[in-house]
Amino acid sequence: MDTARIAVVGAGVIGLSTAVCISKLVPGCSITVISDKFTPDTTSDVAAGMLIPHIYPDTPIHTLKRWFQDTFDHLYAIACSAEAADAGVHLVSGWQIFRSIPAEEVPFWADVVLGFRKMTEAELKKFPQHVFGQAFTTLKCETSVYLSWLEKRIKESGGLLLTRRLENLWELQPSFDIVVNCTGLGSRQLAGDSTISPVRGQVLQVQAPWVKHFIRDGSGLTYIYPGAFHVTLGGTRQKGDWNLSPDAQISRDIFSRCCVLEPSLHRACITKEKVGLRPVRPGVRLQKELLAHGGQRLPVVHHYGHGSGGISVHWGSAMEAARLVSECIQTHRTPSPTSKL
Amino acid sequence: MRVVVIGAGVIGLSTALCIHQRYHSDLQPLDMKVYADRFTPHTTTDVAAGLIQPYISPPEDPREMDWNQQTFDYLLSQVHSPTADKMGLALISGYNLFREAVPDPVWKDIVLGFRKLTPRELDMFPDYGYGWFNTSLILDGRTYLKWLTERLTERGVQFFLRKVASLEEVARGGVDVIINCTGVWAGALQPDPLLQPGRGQVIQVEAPWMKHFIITHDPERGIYKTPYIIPGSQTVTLGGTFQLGNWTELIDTQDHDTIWEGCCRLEPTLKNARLVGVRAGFRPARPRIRLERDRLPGGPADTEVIHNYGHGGQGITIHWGCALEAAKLFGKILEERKLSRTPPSHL
Repeated sequence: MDTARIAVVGAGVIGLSTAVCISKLVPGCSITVISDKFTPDTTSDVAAGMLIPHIYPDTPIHTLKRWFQDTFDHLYAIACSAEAADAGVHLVSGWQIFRSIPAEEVPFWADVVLGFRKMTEAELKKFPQHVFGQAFTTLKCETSVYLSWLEKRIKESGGLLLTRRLENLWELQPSFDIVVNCTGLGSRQLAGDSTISPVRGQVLQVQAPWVKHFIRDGSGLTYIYPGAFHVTLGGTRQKGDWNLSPDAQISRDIFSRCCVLEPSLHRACITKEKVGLRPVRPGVRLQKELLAHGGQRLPVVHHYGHGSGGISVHWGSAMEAARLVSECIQTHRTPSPTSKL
Repeated sequence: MRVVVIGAGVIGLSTALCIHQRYHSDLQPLDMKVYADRFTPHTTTDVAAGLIQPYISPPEDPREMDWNQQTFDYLLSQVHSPTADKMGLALISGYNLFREAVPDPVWKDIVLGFRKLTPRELDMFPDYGYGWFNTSLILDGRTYLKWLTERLTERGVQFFLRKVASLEEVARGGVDVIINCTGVWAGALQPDPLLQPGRGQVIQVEAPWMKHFIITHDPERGIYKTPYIIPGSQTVTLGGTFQLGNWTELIDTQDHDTIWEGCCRLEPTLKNARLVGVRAGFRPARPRIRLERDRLPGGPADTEVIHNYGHGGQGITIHWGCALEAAKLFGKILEERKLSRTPPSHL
């Protein structure tokens, strides 16, 4: 193949960032992002976009840390630049609090975020039901703004965005040489992967511009994340639940849990309820696969299954996915040793 | 007991409330009035960003440290309540930046989580080599004045738009105690060579992605003269200027440009910020706060005065401690009056 024609399937944070990384690593290839949904209708759009990593049982911690560091460094540079507001990236400080002392007082990512330290007694007074806490400064990605910004970068480097629903990856042949599968939960069907399943999350968006700090309960169930346009209140973790409609009772429960942590929220105006299905898998799937069907071959790079932590590690894992794509291109440029006589 | 508070900025209204809260039940009736020629949104308090942060160097009057502590403790006790946002009160964290290492400030144990900046954090600010991070409070002047006005109105305190020409004029009206909270204009009531305007101009912008305050310092140039960025509830305040002796209320375009350029250099994302307003105000600058009792020379002998003015750029920061002190002085006046009203014994 002279100019590799690459199809990136999926336009959430993983699909778009992978497309950008590929265009930087492999100049001269053509990239088309294909998805049935683009921002603001992707799973990523529901996420608050806080850079706080999650653990996957099957992904080694050192890999996670590398991905998180790469993502943090990348976004930190944007946050410090004049482009920060265009990209939707900004710094936010706050507290992660625990009702009992956690097994790990200093998590693996403590030296990646800024200014990590234990909360003082005086600071903990704000949370009478909690006995331990961590204070730090991290980054927040306004996902809808960030995704639009990534789309702009893709188009600027000659990439295409195509709205289309695929039933089968083979539909992409013969138009494309390599497929990058960033379809999250869609891989249940498109890659036949039964290990990925939804963990439903419901959030509220409220107007409370006086709230400048994030507050996250160590369990991950209750959180308050102030953004540029609204404060996100959450949340839920409902395994195996595919329901995308907001539940009023859950909304009331989220609001009341958050008001316990931040009483001034009582007067906040709720503007939206949203639901996202986290694409949860025992580990992130980041690997090459050569699909074969009849006499046809289709190289695929799988890049999906980031569960709760997609935004936190997206850039690091996208860079690795881009490397796998580059390897694929090298492999398929080398002439096959089987000659036809 | 007839009390007149002159001045309806943060000092006047908080002192009024503090005294009314403490002595209302002791004195039936407590007739309290507020006289002012400026009410919110036209007071000096309305121009302030409202960040609670005392001066970095120790005050001349050591009592001011106590008043700062008392104010912070009081506001901290309120910030966790549901009325915090009605008061205009919230927690805010941020950065104090210096070119070189400096000693820790006297208030490091008053605020929350005080620490030095790490090298990675300093990477954000290429012009600065040293700094602090801490969590403090922000009290929006305009919202707080509205809240104070509501609390006072509930208590039956009356407000009068009135330009007071002299303390004697008020005393002649038959007032027992005058509380002088006239801020930068106190010199018109009683000459005070120590009091001067410290003119400050600010720019208000919409930049809702900014969650931290950023305050730069240059010990050679002096306080408030280098860029600062303070995000409030709805807008972000950009400053700073501090011009001693300048009474111009008009906006100065050179000041505007200096502030804008300085703040954009500090925080490049501001280039996207929408301009909402520009304002100027006069900090009531004085080497120390005048918080003391006074008697009117030649005035009616029964009129007591409590002065509470000259808070410079830290009026909001120190207001409640000063209100408590003024209330203490008021209490002393009451004690003296009770003693002097003891009926003569019948023999």
